[in-house]
Amino acid sequence: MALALAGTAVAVPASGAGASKHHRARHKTRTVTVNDNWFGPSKLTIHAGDKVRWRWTQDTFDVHDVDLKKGPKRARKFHSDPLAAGDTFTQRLKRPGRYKIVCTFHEDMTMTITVRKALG
Amino acid sequence: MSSHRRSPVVALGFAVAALAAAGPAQAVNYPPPSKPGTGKGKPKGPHRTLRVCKHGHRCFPRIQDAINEARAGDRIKVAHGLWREGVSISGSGKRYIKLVGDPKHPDKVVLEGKGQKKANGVLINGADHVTVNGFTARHYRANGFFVTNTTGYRFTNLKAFLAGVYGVYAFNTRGGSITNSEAAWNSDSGFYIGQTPPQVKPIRSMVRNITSYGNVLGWSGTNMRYVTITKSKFYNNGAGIVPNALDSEKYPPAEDNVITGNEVFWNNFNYYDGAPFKAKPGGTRVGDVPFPIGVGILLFGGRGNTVTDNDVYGNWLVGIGALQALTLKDATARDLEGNQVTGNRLGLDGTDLNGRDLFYDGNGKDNCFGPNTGVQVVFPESGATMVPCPFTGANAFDQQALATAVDWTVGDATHEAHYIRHDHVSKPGITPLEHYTGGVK
Repeated sequence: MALALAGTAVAVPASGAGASKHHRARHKTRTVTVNDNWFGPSKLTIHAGDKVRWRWTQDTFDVHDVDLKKGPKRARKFHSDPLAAGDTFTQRLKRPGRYKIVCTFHEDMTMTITVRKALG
Repeated sequence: MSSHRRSPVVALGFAVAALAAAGPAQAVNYPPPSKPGTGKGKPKGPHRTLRVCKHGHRCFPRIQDAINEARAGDRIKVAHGLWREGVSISGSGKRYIKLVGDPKHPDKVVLEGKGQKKANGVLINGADHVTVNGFTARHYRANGFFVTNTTGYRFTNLKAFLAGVYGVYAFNTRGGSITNSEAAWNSDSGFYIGQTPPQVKPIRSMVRNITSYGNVLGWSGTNMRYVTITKSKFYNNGAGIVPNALDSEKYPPAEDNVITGNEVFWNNFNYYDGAPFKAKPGGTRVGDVPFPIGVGILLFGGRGNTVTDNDVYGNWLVGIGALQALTLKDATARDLEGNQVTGNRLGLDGTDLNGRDLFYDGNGKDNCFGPNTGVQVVFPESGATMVPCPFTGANAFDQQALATAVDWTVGDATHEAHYIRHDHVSKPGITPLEHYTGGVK
């Protein structure tokens, strides 16, 4: 995945309006499933500006949330509502670094997202 | 869950193996949970009353609009009607808000979850001492009424039906009350207080005059503390009242709860066989062990709990049971300690018998059973694990009794093979529910 992204980066113009357009298009959305009581995957690496979409699977029977417990400096805190099967919650992560995510209802239900510097 | 029958020993092995497979608790590296509640006091008035109605002047068209406008201590009065929204009361700026529907006719102020983006009917987060009075919530994907991270709340005159998880739910709260309310057909428990932080000077929570039926569990209390449940009815659930210990939530086990003066009967609902809600495959589980059905009151682990003065009858597996929280990774919190089961009336004077009146595996110390009246059948049959109250000292653990209890839950694909059925008495307006036959929407 990293290699593919790197290839994409080479194709993006370096400046001008076109660059901006392509820059936006390059950002990806990665999906994390929310299950009883685990995130899948529990470790994820993305690039700054990508979105993460948490999706509560239909097999989820309990209430869970997505809470940023610890993140890089100046990263914007986020905390979803308590949600259930069929729900989604999306966040764009802009600051490079490690994001520790926890479900506040289930203390062992954690995941880590590593955000690398944006490509290009 | 496997559909084939396991022997008790294999079943226990299965549970233990599942524990081993789960491995040690993950090293979590985030700060301990902050104490629920903001510490901010009661707001000074004057307070306003904000009105919500669909037609008319000087009222908000949506409940959430009024909440957004409200300041701490304000009252929000909601008119009769069907309200297709899920509302959120969040933060200290909304403390002491009173959200009022129709306390005498909660079924006339309905929060409808079908087709809504919001997963909870009413969600209170970090707003202390909020009152919710006089509403019905139905069809929400998560919970009907939900409060979390607060000190104090008041849920009264509520009805919660067909929630995806819990009907009325309090999590990580200190103190509060749930009264005069009803919950039915919820796919986990009708009512639930969980993860109560341990406190040096405990603030008790009061639950009084609630009715819970047609749920997987009438009451679930994972790691619940300082709660009194009284003058309430739990019937036609998979199991009636289940204070329990799980390490998926903080602070196991359940402690210092009082269950007294309740009527707990006919909890034989086999939801595995069909229900108006989507049931969990394998049932509501503790680790890899599903909760059994056919049980009135079950202490799954716990310390200092008192079960007294209850009428418990017509539950076909066990009337009142207690066993070690064997799935708990935290071994220090697994054992039953200082629990008392005394002064209860079993079997309704012989007219509506439990399958077994009492079950106790003998785990732990300082636990006592009795005197209770109407007891005809106990398990283990010898009754050796059950010593009368008061009692201090180590109890007489019976490994085989524990293994048998595990087998009742994981070794029986029908979930009913160990029922001991008896006739029920007739009760006006209530029909015994064993198998769901439709009709609930």
